[in-house]
Amino acid sequence: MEYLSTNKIAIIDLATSKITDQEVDEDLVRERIGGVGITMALYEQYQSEDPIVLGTGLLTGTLAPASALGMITAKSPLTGKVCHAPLTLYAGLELKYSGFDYLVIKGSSKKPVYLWIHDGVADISDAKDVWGKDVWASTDTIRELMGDSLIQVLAIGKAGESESDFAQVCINYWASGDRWGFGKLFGRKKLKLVALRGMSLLEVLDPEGFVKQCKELLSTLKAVAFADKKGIEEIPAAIGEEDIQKWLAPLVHRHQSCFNTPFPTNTFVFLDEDPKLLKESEKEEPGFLITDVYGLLGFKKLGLSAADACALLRECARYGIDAVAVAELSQKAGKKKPDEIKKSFSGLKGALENIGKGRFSPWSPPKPIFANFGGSQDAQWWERKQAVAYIFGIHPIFALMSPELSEEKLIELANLGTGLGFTSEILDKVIADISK
Amino acid sequence: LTVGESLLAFKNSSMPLISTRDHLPYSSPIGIYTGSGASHSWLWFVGILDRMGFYNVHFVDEKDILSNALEPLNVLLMSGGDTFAIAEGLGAEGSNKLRSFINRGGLYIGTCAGAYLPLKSSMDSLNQFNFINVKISNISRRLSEPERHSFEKVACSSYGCDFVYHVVREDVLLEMVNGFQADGKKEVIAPLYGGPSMLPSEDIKPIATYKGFTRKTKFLVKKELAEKTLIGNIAVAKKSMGKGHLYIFGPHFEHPYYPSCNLFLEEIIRKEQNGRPHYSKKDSSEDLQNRIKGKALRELLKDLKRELSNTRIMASGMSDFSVSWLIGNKYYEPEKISVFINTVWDKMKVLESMPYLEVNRTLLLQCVEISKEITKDVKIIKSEIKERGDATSLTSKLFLNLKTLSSHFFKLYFKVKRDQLQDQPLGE
Repeated sequence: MEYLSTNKIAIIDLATSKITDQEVDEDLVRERIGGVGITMALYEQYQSEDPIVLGTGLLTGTLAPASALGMITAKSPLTGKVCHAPLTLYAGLELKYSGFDYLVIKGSSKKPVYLWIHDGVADISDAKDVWGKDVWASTDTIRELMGDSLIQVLAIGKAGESESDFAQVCINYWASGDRWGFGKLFGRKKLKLVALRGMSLLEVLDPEGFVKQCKELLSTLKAVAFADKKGIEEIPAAIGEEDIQKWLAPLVHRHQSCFNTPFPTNTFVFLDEDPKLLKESEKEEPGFLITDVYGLLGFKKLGLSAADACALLRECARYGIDAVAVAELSQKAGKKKPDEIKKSFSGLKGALENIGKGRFSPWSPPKPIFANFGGSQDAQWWERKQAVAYIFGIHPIFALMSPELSEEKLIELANLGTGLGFTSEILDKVIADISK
Repeated sequence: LTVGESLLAFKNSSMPLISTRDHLPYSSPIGIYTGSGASHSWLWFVGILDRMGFYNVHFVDEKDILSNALEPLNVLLMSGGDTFAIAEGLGAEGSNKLRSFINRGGLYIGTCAGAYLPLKSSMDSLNQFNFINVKISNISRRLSEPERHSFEKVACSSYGCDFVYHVVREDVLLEMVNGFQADGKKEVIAPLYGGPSMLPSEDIKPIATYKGFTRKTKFLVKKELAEKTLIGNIAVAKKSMGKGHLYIFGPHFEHPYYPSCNLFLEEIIRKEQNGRPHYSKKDSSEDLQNRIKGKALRELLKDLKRELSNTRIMASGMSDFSVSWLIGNKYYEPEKISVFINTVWDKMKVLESMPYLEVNRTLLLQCVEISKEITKDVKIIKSEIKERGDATSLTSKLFLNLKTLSSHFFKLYFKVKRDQLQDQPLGE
């Protein structure tokens, strides 16, 4: 596969420590486009070996607006179904530029290990320096070991190591959209983390046409409904939840976008310093990046102050546990004090009601955000929007804000980039196949 | 291909400038100096020789030169760095070897430090060369007292009671003179990074003079002083000596972003090797037992790739550090680490893409071992810079290792390229 691809898939067997590189078959791309179209195909190919498949969309890491998405495809310990979790911030981008479009991680290691994926090289390394550490310390350690602070780290914390049902694969220091308990799978495989970094280049078949189209799309997107909005705190009211803007406002320090995404879906709050501080922070890490709207809402519904809610989100991320599950199970158990909630992380058990029903993470709200898409926006509409985003590598929350980033436009970009002649019919078929 | 067609090919693609059949089997043995004092710009010569299809390339340091390594060579390329360290390394004996090499018909191409080296000088070590009787305009004795004080340490190099100073960096506009043309043009833009500006002398034939500046010229002093120092003076010159010639370049004509300059260098090498064809026989001197191929080779290449990647990732963020290290008389910035590693990295990908590959096992193993050492040192240096703001103790060793790794790797690389050519039937 020559265009928009690193042309490599790594098959990593943790049981034998054997790593095999494969080329990305162009026929497979013609048939399955990319992203979950191919992670599902790879999952099915290796399903007897309990694989975790990491992948990128066809447009991930390009100039296409919101092309930030990578994904994990695996069988969820929570639902028993093969599901997809989003990798946002810079993790999807870095996976693509690490020299592999897809990683298939199969088998289980006898001792804790981590993967170092860099410039087309996949290494399995002893995790003795990070096993037992929380997500933050693990990220710090691995960046220190490899000597670069731009390394993207998909890590589990103590929740994953102890194989909690609600263990989450976190991105660097922050929560991810893993609401499927994939952290438990990492822990079961004795896989502490996957570190990603690379400086690959992507070839584009028609660079001028591709860039022109991307620029036009970006101009259109900048003039739409979300143009005057920013941050995760804008989202709840837009999806019919309570307005949390005033509640959170005193803590807000800044807003942060995922790679090349026109709307900043993440909000950085200061917990240990005044967010209005203008000089350089004196604390090593004075705050927390909120990346999961439902975790925040869950703690607010427990009646916590914004500061307590955000501090708990931070503790969840350090421990590597899904904040949504923590909030829901705390509600059920009548726990409302931050300390007792934090103490419940270890050994947290219970059945969740707000569990995702489909294959895509319920981290993305179930309805349009800010925008008017016209027609019905039911569960089927949402599932299709998510499928398209996960196939092309588009930020799945941004996909709910931007009717302008239509299937036709994405297909057009994919064709400018690869010349493979994708059509709506092919996309329909891929969506049907991954929904089976 | 004509030169014009070659340039078009170079501009429009990454294809070699010439067809492979154009230089089979005659390929002039070319030496690139990588010894004491050589900085990173010799890597640019590697790039253009590879693009131009000159694969009979050898890497020589001062010890090689003293051991008669110049004898089989037709051309010696001496790029930028620390002129004093080069002169000191070669010494009187090295100077004699170099003189003999040129006198018997060798072609010496010196850019920047390599251009200063053969110029007349009274300074220790340098005074053993004095091949060319020419004076430079960028020396402090030609400055007024206020002008002397306008220089900072990075823009000058100590030269006894005086100092050699530099007025601009990056692009300068040159006028080709005495009928010379670069890529068919009478004016050419070239990058200047501290190379000499020479005053007229009967001992040299000017090839190009400094004519002006461009939007990309970075002025290190006031424009008036820059003009006074450079404009109208000689940027490129030729001198004949015995049966051979010296071409000296103030600006770096070998810089990869300046294809017209690269073409001029190519033309010189082609022209000057006429009459001295060198039949490049299959090199059978190498111990066949020491060759590696197949899966074992791929594994070893992967080991090398792993270490190169680790280093380039570590080094990638270092260009943000505002530090530089004085090694000898030359300042090295952190981004030069990436220049070495990325040049090797790019050619590594070429080797990886070759279906049938066989290389010298010992040399490749040495590359792997040195690259491991480099990774370790870069990590320590980076961490020391973060903690203490600087790190100098390891940098000399690091840059020495980077040079050794690169020259070992390119030795191996060009051998592969030569073997490939020689395995092709003539006419293909």
